[in-house]
Amino acid sequence: MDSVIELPGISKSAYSPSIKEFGIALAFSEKESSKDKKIIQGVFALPKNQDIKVYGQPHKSIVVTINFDGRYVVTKPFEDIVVLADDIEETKIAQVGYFQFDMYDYFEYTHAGLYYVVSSLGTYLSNILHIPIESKQ
Amino acid sequence: MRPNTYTTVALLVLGISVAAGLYFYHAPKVERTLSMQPYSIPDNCDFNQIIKRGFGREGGGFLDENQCSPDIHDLKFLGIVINAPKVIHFSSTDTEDNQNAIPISGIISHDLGTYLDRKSSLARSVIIVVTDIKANETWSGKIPGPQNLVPRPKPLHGEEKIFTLEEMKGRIHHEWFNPNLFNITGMELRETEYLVYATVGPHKSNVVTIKAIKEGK
Repeated sequence: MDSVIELPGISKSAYSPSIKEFGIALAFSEKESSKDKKIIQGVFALPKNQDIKVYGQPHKSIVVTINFDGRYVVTKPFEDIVVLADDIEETKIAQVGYFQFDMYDYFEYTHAGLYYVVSSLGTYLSNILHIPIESKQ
Repeated sequence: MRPNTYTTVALLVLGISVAAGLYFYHAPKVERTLSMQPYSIPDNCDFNQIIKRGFGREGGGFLDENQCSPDIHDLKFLGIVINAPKVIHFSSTDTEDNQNAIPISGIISHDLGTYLDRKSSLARSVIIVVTDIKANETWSGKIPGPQNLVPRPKPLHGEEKIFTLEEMKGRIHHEWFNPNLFNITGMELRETEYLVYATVGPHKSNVVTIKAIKEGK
């Protein structure tokens, strides 16, 4: 991506994944990533008429778990972010939102291997990303 | 076969079908949530039995199967399944004597040919995440590792065979876990609803909801 993206961010981007069912989904954005940053793009679609246990602004409730080699971190990247009304797309049946963050902002690189990332929002759990991390040497 | 043999066979099949139908109609209701899922979760098991047994050091609990453990029917299923009481009652936020224990009964099914770093048992590598949905606060933890581990003895003859991931591929391994969620995550106990899930490596669990009710208000 040519322009600088704000991270963590909650805007829709050219690399945002699509979502066909209610829930939350993650995608590893290889094109935006480099040796020093690993960008993860996400999207959620929440039904309007079901109790999916999300109170307040959905972005603030997104929980991300990253684990590798016996270490892990559980974080809420968007907890303190300012969410405006137009950051959420409203359809007849759903609220749709987008987000992105750099995995390295929350989980320190130690050595090469397969890092795993999963997120949750209310009663929904995302797919698990398997991110191959190359050696920085 | 002669025509009356056909009739006999048809009547026999019909009789067996009716008998089976009557049996299943009147049979006691299975207390597990049966579905198309590769696993089932006991609906009305007695979590108090797990609490009475205790959780040991740091609330890690026993790594065994019990009446609240989810069942995996599909032997090819890989992942984590957890069960928890739908409602818990508490009188104080005291952690002593397991007064406010929140038992989680889970199972992990893993292909030993898939890389997963494990310093001890597979169950002890599972990360459990709990969120207070009203306060939007999240805690997490793992089952504490064993104490005073004795190194594996060397074989009497020859070298110990170390299997490669390729050689282990297809060997599905199950482990159970029953920690006290309250102890291992350091969560705060409040009158609220909690969402709980577990994950490690390429595996994630179902999400369970626990309603916490304060008694004696």
